[in-house]
Amino acid sequence: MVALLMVLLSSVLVTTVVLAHMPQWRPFVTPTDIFGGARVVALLGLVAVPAVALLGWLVARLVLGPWHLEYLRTPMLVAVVLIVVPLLEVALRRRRGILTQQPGFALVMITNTALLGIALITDLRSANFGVAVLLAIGAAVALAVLLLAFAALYERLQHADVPMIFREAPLALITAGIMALAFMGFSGLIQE
Amino acid sequence: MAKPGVRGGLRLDAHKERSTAQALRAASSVETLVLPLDQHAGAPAVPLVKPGEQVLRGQPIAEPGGAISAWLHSPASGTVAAIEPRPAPHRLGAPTLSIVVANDGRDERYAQPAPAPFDQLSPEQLREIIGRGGIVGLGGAVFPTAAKLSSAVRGQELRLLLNGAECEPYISCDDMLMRERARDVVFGARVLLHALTAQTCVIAIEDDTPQAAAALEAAIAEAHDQRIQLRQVGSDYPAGGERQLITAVFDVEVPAGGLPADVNTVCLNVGTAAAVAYWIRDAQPLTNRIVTVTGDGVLEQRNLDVRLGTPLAALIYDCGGYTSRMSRLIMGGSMMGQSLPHDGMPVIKATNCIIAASALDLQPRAAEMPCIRCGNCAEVCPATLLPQQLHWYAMGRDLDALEAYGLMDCIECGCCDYVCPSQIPLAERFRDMKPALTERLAARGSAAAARTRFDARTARLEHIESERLAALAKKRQELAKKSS
Amino acid sequence: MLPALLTMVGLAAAAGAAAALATRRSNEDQKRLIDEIDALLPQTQCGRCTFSGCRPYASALASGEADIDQCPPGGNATAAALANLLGREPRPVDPRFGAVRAQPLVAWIDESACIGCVKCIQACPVDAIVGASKFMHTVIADQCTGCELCIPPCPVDCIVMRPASA
Repeated sequence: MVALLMVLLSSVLVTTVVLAHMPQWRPFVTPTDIFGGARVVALLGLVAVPAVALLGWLVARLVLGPWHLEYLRTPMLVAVVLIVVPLLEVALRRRRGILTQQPGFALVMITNTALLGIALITDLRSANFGVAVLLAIGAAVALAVLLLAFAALYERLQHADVPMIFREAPLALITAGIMALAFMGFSGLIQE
Repeated sequence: MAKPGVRGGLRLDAHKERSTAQALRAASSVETLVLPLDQHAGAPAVPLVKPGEQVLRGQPIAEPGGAISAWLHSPASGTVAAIEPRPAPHRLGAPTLSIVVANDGRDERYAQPAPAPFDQLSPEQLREIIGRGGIVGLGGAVFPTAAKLSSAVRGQELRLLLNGAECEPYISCDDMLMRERARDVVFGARVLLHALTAQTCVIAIEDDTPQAAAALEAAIAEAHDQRIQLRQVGSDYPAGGERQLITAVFDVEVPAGGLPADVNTVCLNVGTAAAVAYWIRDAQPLTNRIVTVTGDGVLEQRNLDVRLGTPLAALIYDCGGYTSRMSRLIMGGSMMGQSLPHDGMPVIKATNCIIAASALDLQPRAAEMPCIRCGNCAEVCPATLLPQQLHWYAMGRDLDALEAYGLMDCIECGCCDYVCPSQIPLAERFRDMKPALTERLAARGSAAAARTRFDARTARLEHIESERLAALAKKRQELAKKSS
Repeated sequence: MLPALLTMVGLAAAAGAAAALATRRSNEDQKRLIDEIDALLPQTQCGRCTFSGCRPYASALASGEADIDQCPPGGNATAAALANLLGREPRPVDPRFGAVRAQPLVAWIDESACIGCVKCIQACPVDAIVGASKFMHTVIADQCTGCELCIPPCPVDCIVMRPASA
């Protein structure tokens, strides 16, 4: 649980940093604000993360298992991520409203889905398909919530009167730390 | 879809008992009248007279200076003393070009042609004649009425709303007008109905003015006009704001960035309707208006019928002079009024009230403190905006966010200002940020227009070029045919 | 050994195909991108960016042939907005393309010197000059974008730039 939280937080930090500070890696042409970009990434993550996790789980069970190829689990996951994310981008293009920008889009989505996929698939070795679905969607929702909360906080802090020393990165890290503390409150709810 | 209702607003003490206790009285005559040329919305008027010229009462002395502008008439007979910059109240004391008339006291009237019965004129003719009376919105916005009427007529069925909901504390000029001159308001309503080819008129007043209600009911009954009705609305501030009133009376919301005409409504002040009546029925152009003189700093509080151009000092004199508690002079009401530096400035078409304020009337403002995010401001905003967010973005000068959160829809009523526990002058901040945003929207508009013209020109040149090539090709073909 | 090889080759091929599919950009996307860029430009149509108008510049920006610091009438605000939109490093306007003006200027024709040659009318990209051959020419100040393209063609040098009145 704590490990998953750490994974999620690091994913959120990477995404927000890319959206805010590295314009050349920004995933979308529009929207141009941080919260809008985070919203799109969160929604896409809700689609991509379960897809990657479940597809990876299925391939692991149906292809790697029977042929005793478990050691290929990680490269297989990387390949699955590289299949799902571009296809998602193609599907996105059919929809109006969002223009993707290379290499930003691929970078952000791959980072998020790979991190989460790895975390999930190691956990899902022995679970059945139903549990896998629930865990995957749950993790995607958690990522979406964290991402939106962090992006909203970040945008609100843009206009705050922050001392010079704390601007940009230190404030982002402090915010992430406080959010982690808040979510720590949830640990212990479910006795494992 | 959710039913729109009037949201927000404040219940405020009216402070109108003393100023409505006595009947209307004419203000005493003064020697000099100062008439600023830009006292209406739109382009300043252009003088028709020169210094030294004799003028009569009601004579046009300045004509409209642009598409949106208004006529100006002399409120007295006498001589034009000068045309020069004089301190003006709507510029808070800064000078603006004004016509100065020396009153000879004889009050000779300018011979106006006898007015034709208004229902025999066509609506367009009637609107044009209304414009010639110098009529502008007397609720405070002073927008030229003829322009407002003409821009609203787009071929659809319109309805007229007369705004008698005088919600701001201290101001009672419309209340007195409706009590004593209700017949004139109703006549004005009938004229405006004809000018707009409208079939419905609602006169809206607050529910705490029973004398005005009775007077208007009697006048409507006397006029035997089924089209006009009286409607009472709640007296929360700002019930009399144009958009809020339209929502309260007709249950529709004027779209953001739109006008009342977009919901088939034209909203005018009852004072404007009365002014229309005086011009159309009695051939008397806009030269007078009712002004409330109130506040603890003046001896008597009352409403006066004042000639435009009268210095405010004369009004104070008519009310017995200042008391020893007098502290500040304010033009307008207690929520949206502006402080004036001295009382030597003239009454203009926008002057509805002057408050000689003492410490009893106005609490001093404490020092500004940081926003504590209590949310009081959002609860009271009648335009359903988020003043807390607007304040945040105004501090950060983020024009994109201000536009997205609807700064241009702010009606500057001051409700948020009033309830802020941190004493932040919110309404002032928003008023200060609006010009930057207006400029940016205007630049965007002119860029779009430039793009259209450029595309049209490119298309035109291409068309000319292709025609030329086609003509040459045709000539080539004919020559080839001839030689073969 | 063989199953492992086959699996990896199969997965890699699938990934490659997906990537190839994704990186093809359609024409409609390109047009939408150009529209978005054009909406940020000031529409002066002056040509200081070395393209023949604002839309050709937007087109070049979308395809990567031009950079964001080439528009002096837009100023640093437009350069920043373009950088934000296209995901490039924000930069101030390059002075080699022209000076950024502190306030907007419009053209003004000295009517006492004008000879009615219509050369400026032909040069104006937004038709902001009215007049005809041997008749007086005048600039409609509200419609002038300040591109200064009318100044070089005038044979008697009677056009000057003045601050636009508010």
